[in-house]
Amino acid sequence: MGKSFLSFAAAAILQALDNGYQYGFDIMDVTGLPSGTVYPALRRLEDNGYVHSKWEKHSIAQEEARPPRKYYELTREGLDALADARSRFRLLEQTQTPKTEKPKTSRA
Amino acid sequence: MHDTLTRFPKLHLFLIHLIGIIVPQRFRADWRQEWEAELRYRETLLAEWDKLNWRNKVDLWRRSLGAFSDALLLQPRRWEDEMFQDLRYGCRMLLKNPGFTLVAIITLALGIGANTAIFSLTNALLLRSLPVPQSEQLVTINRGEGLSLGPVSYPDFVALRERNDVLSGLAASYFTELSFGNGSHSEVVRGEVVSSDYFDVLRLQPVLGRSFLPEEERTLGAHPVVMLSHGFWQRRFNSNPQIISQTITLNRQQYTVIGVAPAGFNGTMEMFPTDLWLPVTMLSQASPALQASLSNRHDQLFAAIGRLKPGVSVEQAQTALETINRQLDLAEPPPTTRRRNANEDRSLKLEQPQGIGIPSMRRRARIAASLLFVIVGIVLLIACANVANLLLTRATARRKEIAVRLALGASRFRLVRQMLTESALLGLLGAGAGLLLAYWINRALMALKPPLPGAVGFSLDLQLDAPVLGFTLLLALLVSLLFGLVPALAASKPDVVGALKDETGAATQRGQRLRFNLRNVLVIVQLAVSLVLLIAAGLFIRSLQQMQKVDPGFQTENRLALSFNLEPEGYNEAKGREFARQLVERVRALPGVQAATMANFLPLGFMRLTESAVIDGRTSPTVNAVAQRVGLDYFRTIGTPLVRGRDFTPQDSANAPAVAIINETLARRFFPNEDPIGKRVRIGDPVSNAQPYEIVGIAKDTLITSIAEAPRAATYRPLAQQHSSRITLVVHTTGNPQALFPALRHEVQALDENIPAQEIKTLDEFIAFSFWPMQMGARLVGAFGLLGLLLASVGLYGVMSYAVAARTREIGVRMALGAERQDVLRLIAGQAMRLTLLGIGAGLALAFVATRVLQSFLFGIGASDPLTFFSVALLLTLVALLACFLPARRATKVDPLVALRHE
Repeated sequence: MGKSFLSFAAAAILQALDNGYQYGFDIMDVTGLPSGTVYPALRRLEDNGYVHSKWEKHSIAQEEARPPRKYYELTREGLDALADARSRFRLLEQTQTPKTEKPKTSRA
Repeated sequence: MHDTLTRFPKLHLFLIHLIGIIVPQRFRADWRQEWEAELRYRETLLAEWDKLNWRNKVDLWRRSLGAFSDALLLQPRRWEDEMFQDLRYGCRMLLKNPGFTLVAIITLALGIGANTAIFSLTNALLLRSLPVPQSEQLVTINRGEGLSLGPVSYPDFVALRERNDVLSGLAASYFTELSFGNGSHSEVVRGEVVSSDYFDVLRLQPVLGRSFLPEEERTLGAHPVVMLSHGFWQRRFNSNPQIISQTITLNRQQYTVIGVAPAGFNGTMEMFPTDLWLPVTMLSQASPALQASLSNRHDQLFAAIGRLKPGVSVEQAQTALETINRQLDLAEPPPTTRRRNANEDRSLKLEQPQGIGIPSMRRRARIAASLLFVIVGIVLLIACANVANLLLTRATARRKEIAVRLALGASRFRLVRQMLTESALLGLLGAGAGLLLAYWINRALMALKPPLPGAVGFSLDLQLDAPVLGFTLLLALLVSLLFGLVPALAASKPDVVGALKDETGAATQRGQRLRFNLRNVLVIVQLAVSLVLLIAAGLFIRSLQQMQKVDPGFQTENRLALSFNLEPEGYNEAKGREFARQLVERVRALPGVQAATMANFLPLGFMRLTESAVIDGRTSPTVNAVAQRVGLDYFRTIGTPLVRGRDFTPQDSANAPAVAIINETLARRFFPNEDPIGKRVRIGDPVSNAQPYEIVGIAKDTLITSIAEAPRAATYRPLAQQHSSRITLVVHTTGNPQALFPALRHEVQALDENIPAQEIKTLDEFIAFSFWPMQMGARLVGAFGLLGLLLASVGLYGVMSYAVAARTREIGVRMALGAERQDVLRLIAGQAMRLTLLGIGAGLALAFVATRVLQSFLFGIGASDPLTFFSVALLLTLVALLACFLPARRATKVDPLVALRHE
């Protein structure tokens, strides 16, 4: 999948990551996309090297008596792809609010 | 269920656990953890904010149900995973049974290799396009039935090139022999005389120098320039990079080398490669007899190849060119003497150049290729049946493993897929080995090229290129399905309980018998089709025998022949006559020579000439008769008796009255109830102003063009009265003609060291070309027939071995109860013979129908020649007996004590 084939959904997910939403559910919330779109897209983006996933530290998870969460980060290529997508989808940035302005559910 | 509920007090977590089952194992843990963590995190957060109300709880359930679509989208990865698993498992199973694997691979390699080789032959003969850029845009022009190599005259070509608006370019070429070099180093080379845009139309850039310029197509005889083929440049000039602007000698004239064509391009007829190209304005230097041809619109000499404009279809271009052609014919209708017959088809047909460029040869090649495909297809079927049989045997051995997997919940689909993966692995390995085999078969096929005179040149380049590899891959997969599916379906349905209990008794008898029946059917089919193959091979071999028995009407024993083309060597008529006279004189003086003479060509050779003949002064039908011109003593030298009249004498000289000898067939046609001696016939083209000749003798009929032909009308005239620059010396020796070769060569060199005298042949070698198609048929079909027989007997052997092994206990019981060795032998051999006879019966019936299609290839025997049918059936029976002899003998050696304990 080359950059030019990035779908709008994939671009929106990259934008969400760039805005600081790093968890699957947060991305679903901010993009309004269903889980059946977000998770497969994240996997594809990771396969293509645009996104990198990590597990949360065990200590944090243990404190809250739940398994560690998985979070996603943009890679260098991901940032490039996002810049490219922004030039194609002009309204991409306006569809989301960056996380710093209005915290939603996460407290990363 | 209760347990799960206590572990997952929350419905959404339970749902994630449940959905996780369908997630491929490789991802399952991670997948569950990610979802569970998200859900629980969200839940904690909501609880902290005190918002864990029903609405938010429903939202959590909704989200966990959403995980289902995510899990579904992971399913394709399950396939990838399982495929990989199947492959790994398949490799392990194949390695575990190296003997089985090896036999299966060799069997498949034989079948697939034969098919690959025949496909690469078909590819070269019929499919391959010219090695030039965008070759799909190229079209060649043929006229009428496409029998002529040169469908257009030069003026017509120019008109077509200028007036059409469908082609981006049109080029003409004429193939001719040239004498290259000087002195004793001269050799005959193959040249093409071409229009100046030839290389532009083909979009070929010379690797050195330039190609022809438009002005080189303007002034006749003014441009002695030449382009060399890459191969010729390498061979004769050692790839000399300074070759450009050097001069070379062609037909005793100096030519300047202007360029070297790219490697791999050998002219527009790949099978008859070109050494060099001259501009069309040098035609009369290349071939003096064609001096006036460039301006005569009825001298159809040239082949034409054009490039379609983008977006123009072959049909559109054909219509456009045919319109121009009709206008040309209307403006200047061709004289009747130039036509084969009054309603000769003169329309132009366009065809995309593929394989052999010559339409009439393509037709024959297509028939031969389809026949060969049927044959190798049968070989492949036999091979498949063998492998299927092996797989069935192995499935019996793997019964327990399969039953365990079924019992543990593997689906039948999954098992079949697993076994098909193994088959595909076998198929691919077999194809790999088959490619090696195909490489060898191709080498052998290339060595079997027709015995053509050296100057014609023949190059059959069989390659394992992309289309061939693609074909092999496709074939391998198709074949895997063919031999793998039935055993896989049969094996994946065993009696689980029986197999687990390791039963060999009554409980499994039913299934076994079923599979054993399937084996029997396979063996019967194998025997039947290999019988068909062998009968086909036998028919070819018998035809070849019949051919060799035919009396050609002349003697080949203790005779030799040597052909010359004097024209490129710069001989005019007077000089040529003198050369021929002196050579015959010198040869007659050699020790060991009984007789020697000249002719313009010899019967059953590669060359021939026909001319029209009519009875002088009467209205008689025009007969297209073979026109031989012969020297003194011809009939005695070649051993064709004269049935009436006299032979030519020295008195029949150029100034004496014109005389001719005709053969029996022409005598019967022209003078059914009269004595032809003293009558006059006019011979020549056009016949209307041909010279009359007085008939002085009648010669016995001889075969002329092929062994299989009906007698043809022929005329003989003295070379003294009708000169020919193409002559063949024929010598009758007292002993082995080969002993005379050096002396003969020496005599030719002594007369003129420039004349090539390399290709001296015995007369048997000289006429070998006419036997070649039948020889090829007999060899190829025979070889593939034997291959089929070998495979089928291996199959029979395998089945009988298995049958004996499966009946060991029964045999033991019989022997314990008093059966003698011969009773056991009879039991096993009887079973084998039943199969064999059924197979042979079916095969005979099949062959009776199938060999009809061979009728047109056969000679001297019917398609259901009883001798062939009988002897081949007998041969197959003997081979089958041999194949089951070893298992039967093993059965008689069964020790009752051991057998009764046998499981």
